[in-house]
Amino acid sequence: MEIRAELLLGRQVVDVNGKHVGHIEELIAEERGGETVIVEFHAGRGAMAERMSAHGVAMIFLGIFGARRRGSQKPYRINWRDLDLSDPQHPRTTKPVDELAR
Amino acid sequence: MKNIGQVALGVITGIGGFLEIGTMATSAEAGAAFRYSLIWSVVLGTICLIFLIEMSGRHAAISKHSLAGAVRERFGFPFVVVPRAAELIVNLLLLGAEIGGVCFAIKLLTGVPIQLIAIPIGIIIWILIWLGTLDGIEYGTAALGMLAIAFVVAAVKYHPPLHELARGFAPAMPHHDAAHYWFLVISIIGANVSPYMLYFYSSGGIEDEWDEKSLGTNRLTAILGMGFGAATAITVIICSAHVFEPLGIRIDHYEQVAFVLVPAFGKWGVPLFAIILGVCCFGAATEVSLASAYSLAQSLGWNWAEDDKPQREARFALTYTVMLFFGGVIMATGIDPLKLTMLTMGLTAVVLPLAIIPFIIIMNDEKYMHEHTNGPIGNTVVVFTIVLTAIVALVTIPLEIMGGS
Amino acid sequence: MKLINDVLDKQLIDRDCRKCGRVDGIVIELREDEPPRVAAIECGFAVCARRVSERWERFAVVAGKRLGVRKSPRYRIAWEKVLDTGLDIDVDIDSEDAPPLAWEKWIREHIFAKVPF
Repeated sequence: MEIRAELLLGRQVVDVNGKHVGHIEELIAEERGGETVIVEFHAGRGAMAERMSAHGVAMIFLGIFGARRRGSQKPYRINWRDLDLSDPQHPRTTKPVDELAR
Repeated sequence: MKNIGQVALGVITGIGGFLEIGTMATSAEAGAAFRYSLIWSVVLGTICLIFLIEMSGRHAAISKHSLAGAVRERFGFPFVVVPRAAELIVNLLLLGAEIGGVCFAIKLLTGVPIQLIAIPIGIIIWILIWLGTLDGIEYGTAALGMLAIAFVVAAVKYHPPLHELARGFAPAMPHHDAAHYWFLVISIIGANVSPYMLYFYSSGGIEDEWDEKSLGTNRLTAILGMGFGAATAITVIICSAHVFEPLGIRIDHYEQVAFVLVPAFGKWGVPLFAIILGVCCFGAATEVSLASAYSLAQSLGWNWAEDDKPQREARFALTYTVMLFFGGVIMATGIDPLKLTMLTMGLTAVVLPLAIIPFIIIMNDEKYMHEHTNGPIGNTVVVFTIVLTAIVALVTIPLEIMGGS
Repeated sequence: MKLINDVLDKQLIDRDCRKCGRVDGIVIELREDEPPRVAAIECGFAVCARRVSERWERFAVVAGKRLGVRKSPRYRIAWEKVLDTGLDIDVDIDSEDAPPLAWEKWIREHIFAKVPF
């Protein structure tokens, strides 16, 4: 099955219990065995700042529009095994949000 | 020596290129309606423009990427669709107004109606772009635009009261016709801080292969070029204030503006004005059409380069071809050039925030800018400009209805 | 590698250093019990249009078919052809005869060929 990364971008992710995790903002890939594979998905408001490579004043400016909240700057890092993409329009993690790494 | 030459050329481009139909119309109306009271808005718009132009040039020199391309890369396609479409529409109207300015200048000199020569003027501009190089076009039209020094001469001859002139540099509340006053403030800012100038300057920097060594030249060019250009625009206000305001004349037609140099130059006043207007608008028309092609090509990843053979950059060339054709068609319909100009200045103010917001991200991105990201002053100016242009965008349409054309 | 930050929307450069569009889309292959594989990059107006809405994609596909310049509104470049990812994406293709430059060629041959200079 094929999916499109650009259409996954911005999709809301919920956890196994239906709780909101965040929006997918980045896909991390690496070379493995001669292939380029996706190892992580980053979601959450911190992920948007990461995607924008926003620093300093840019972060202050984005913060005005709710792109960053105190204490939640880091994105959720969702391992590829922990994200169910059988329905790409409604991705969900296979773990509760509290167990997701940041 | 090479750097001094480049700065000098940049200053010439600034002086000769700053004046175009928008600055001419808004400055003339500002002087006629409010004497020197609106000089501060030219200064404010120019300070913002100097910083943005310097950033555009620095971005081109360090990242070797165009501004429009960087916005696409950093913000994605869905973000750029609306701003690009809006900018293209506004640029088309502005191009029509600039072509209208050239046609009006020819009409002043020869009596030939604007509708008859609008499309031929578009074709002549197209031939110049098709056959010429970017440097040739830019410096050629800017050198001819140095005739705008005539406004400086006239302004000195008119002996403006210096204390009143000085007061014009400070913002003040209007004593009358508030809606018209604030509409002109917005129009002046829209005329000075036009998005097309940023894309054109950025693209020129890449075509000229600027690098880290060009940063000093870039900064000087931005400050001196735009600074001297703004000074020329202020002299238009001074001349208009001297000639029209005492008589209570409001500028409703370009024919009125043509007399602004008569007290200083006698029978040569009108022909001189016509030549300056024609040359400045001609230069601006080439810039607007090229800037539109640059920003579209860079956003979509096409080949683009004015200095290359047009056949190798067919989509880029087709873009400016289509823009020039429809720009000529707009003026061939008989629309009043002054009304079109004021409308376009207002619409430019509406799209400005969309063009400037990306600066806050792009100019702080170390992947593109390395160690040449914005400092605190640069970022403060960008944020201030975004807030200013956002306020301007919100009030433009109501003010255009209440106080504009 | 960050696919969105480092690859999506970046400028494509072919083996002759010509610009040949942008990375409008990235195709990912989902596999059973294995990490998803980056299969290809895509470019074309239909790919861009889909990112705005499905309606725009349908319009792009219909318009592309009517105009008939490109065989397909989407052009796929296998990931193996990607040579380097930096500020630009270098790809091992010759775009002159490939779909990314089909419109460039058509305009050159059908419109600008008539220009006498």
